[in-house]
Amino acid sequence: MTDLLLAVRGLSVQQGHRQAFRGVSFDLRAGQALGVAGANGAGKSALLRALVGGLRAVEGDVRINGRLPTHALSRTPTAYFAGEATLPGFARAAAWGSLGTGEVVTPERRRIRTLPRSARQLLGLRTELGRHPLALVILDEPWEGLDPDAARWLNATLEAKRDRGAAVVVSSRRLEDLAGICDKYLFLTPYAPLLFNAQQIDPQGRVDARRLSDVFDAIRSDPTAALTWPRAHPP
Amino acid sequence: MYQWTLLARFFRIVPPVPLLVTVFSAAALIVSAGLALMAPQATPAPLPTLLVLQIFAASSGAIGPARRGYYDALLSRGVGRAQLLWGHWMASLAPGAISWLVVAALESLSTGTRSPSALSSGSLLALWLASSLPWAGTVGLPRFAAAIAWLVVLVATLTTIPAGQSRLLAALDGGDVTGWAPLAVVVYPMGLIGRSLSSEQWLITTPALLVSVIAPAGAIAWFCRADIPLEASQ
Repeated sequence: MTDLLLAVRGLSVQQGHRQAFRGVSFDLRAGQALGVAGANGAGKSALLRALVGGLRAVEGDVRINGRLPTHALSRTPTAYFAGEATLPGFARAAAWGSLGTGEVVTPERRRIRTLPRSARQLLGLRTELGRHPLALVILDEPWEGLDPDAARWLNATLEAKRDRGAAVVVSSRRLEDLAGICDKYLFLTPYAPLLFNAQQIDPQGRVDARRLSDVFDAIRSDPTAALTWPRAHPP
Repeated sequence: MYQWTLLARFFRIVPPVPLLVTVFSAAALIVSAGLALMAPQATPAPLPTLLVLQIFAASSGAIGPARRGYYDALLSRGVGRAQLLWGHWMASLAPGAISWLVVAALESLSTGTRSPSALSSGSLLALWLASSLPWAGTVGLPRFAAAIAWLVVLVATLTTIPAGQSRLLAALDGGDVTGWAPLAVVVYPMGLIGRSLSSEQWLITTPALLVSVIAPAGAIAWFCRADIPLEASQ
């Protein structure tokens, strides 16, 4: 068994006066991938931001290699990207791309804001994922705005990073994005955060979009099912 | 060392100072260079303009870009928040400070003096106050907030007090520590330019000097503890 890379215990986070989410717990080891699913406003982005120390916990804590995120990130090579809207639009695309490794990610010299959305998203992803080695990859809705070719590249890259030993946390509101590439799935429902191993969703561990969607629909529409499913379907 | 290099590269790509402020600073330098050729004694004339530009440049604001996610690339690479803010501060004040030094060099070359007025104790204090107080005041606020607040106070002072500018200058000269002279240093720092401060005047400036050291430390401490939610996701 590989070492525990990311440990989250009873994490609750507040944004302003609103509870973003509460009681999230999971472990992630090197080479494992966690998919975070939930409706808009369920707290996916807040959870991923809390993992890198951008939001403080009201309760519980996050440990990366046993340390608080603010202390761990200088020792644990981490990629974090929260979408193309977080790129500075006035910066030159080629210059921003060189921040990753110093190598050219794109020859495009235009300002980032003048690029198409798909190109902006791809620029941000390539800048973050182009670094080697990466121990932890945290991506918030990375498929958003990508064209099909870029989405295939992203899936292949995430699988490659995971297979090389990186722990991956990735969120999406579209379950088909997450299906198949994750070992664990965290559903942020209005009742409680629910964590499933892939084997709890499919005994063979081959989770497809339809199966994932069936589970999500069941737990979303029925609070009882939401709370009893993990016990009724042990791994 | 890697993180400081990354910070320098980052702020070269994403400068905290708006391009317009840099362009105006360059224009002030050109004016100063022109004066050095035509009227050497007037070479430091653009210093008050540079001081105002420095107040706006230093009011760059850090929490806004942080909440837009611009600094995620630094924070996720292990750059500490305090380190990030130091880099932000240096990048904010560098264009103005460099311009100031260029004017001092021009003055020195054109007049042959070894102690240009741009490097007098009053001038350097004015530059320090213009670089530290607005920066600290704007860390948690939108860009230019402190500069606009200062401008409002200055205009209000100059328009509501008869002969406002003379009164502000007289306050600096008067050595009145208990009066509003210490405040005049902050409201009208241009009055310090070119002065060699006497010990009495240093005493007057002490409160402002203390605040200008404590405020940035407080701003950095606040930023290190602040939540940085994404604006887009709220």
